[in-house]
Amino acid sequence: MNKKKTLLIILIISLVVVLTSCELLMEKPQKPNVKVLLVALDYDKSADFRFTRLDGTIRDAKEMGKALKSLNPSTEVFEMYREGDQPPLFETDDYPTKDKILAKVGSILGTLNENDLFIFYYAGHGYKGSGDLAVASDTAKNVYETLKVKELLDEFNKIDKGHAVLILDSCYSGQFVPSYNFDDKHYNPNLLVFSASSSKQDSYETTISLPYGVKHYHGVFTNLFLEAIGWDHGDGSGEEFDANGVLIKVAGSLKKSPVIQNGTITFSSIFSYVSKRINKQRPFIVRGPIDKVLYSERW
Amino acid sequence: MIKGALRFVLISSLLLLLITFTVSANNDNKVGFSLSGEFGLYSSIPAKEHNDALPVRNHLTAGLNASSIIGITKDFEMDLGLSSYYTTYSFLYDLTRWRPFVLIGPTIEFTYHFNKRFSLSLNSSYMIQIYTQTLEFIAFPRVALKGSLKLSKNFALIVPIAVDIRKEHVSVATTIGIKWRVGKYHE
Repeated sequence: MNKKKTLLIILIISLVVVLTSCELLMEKPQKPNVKVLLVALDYDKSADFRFTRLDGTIRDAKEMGKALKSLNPSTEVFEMYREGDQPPLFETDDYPTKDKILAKVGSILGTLNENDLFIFYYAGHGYKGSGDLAVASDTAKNVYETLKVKELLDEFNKIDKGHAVLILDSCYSGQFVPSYNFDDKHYNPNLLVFSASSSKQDSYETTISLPYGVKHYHGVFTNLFLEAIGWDHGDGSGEEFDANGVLIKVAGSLKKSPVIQNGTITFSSIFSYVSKRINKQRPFIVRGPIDKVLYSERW
Repeated sequence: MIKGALRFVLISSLLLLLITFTVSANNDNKVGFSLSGEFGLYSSIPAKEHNDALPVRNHLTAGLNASSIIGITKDFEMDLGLSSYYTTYSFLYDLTRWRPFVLIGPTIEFTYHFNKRFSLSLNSSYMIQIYTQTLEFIAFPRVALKGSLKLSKNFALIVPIAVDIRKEHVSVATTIGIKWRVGKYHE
């Protein structure tokens, strides 16, 4: 074979590969609709000794909602809280019992289009060992029931269109992270799970100091997650509570994200940011090549 | 991590260079050393199970290779060396991006010189891949076909096409680069 023929073959193969640069040739997908479901419990006056009060969960969830809404103003935010000494909200669809959470997840998944993003955020207790979630019960306001890891993952695996991301700030939440293995029935390329700790670790809260001596409780993981997307807690002066201790309005605003690259924030870049700064607990994310985009200026 | 991989290849290059010239000092075999850099497109082909909206996810890739060259016959030679690559995030399309990573690994290459200017090489490597954000390690074989066109006494244009064979999916790297070599070689 002469060198011209060989070079020609190499060039043709190269050209074919270059022409399969689909991202450049395919029609731009529609701007995604982002839907966020925030589930948080503070276990105030719990009758179960295992579930001590958590001071940071509600503020974490509310700031997360405000931050994500600031990032994508068209974001739809759904909230399910068991908070303070508020009267039981058994009759509402937003009280975070197992059945109501699963029903809400199912209904949001059903509304997703091909290019939509559904973010599920949970802040609360996780059972030692299993990582199962301690959610509200509709029998009384100070007792709790179990939402098993498997039940939640099974519900998310019903995803038919779009993309979903589970963010879990709870103890032993690494139990929720499926392995990158096509034989693992919980592995789903359209679902990314991001946990605050490993399957054998607690997830901690911390206090952060704001200007004028104000202190706020936050989950260590959620605080770093918020920091990664550019959240500034402010001075806390804009917060409002009602008579039952329910946080009605959170302060804070969104600044420039330290992880934004070429106008895009991905969950793995947030994972990398959080992992480098966290102690005592080790976050986990689904392994393998696939990452999801939280925000892009080019949408 | 990218700096670490680069440092590893440069230190290895120096060691390979030393070995090459130590070996060549006492025999008449064709022995040499080469250093090459390449840049191009890295195309990951998703498996059915990845449920990807695209048939191919493209990244940019750049690499550095260092090797010792051992002449076997007048037209045939073998290279032993090390390669290191950095591959970026895949281009933005929908809500999915494929993660960036570093590749590093030993390579063996067999080259046939068709004439004084043109040669074709078959290259085989065992690559360690590290996703730069999740720090996940995996290992897999890479095979490559490399065309080389001599530009001057020490420089050649190279056009490698490499295939990465992972358990879950296959990727093709199409690059172009420059190879610098010293020592006795095909004339």
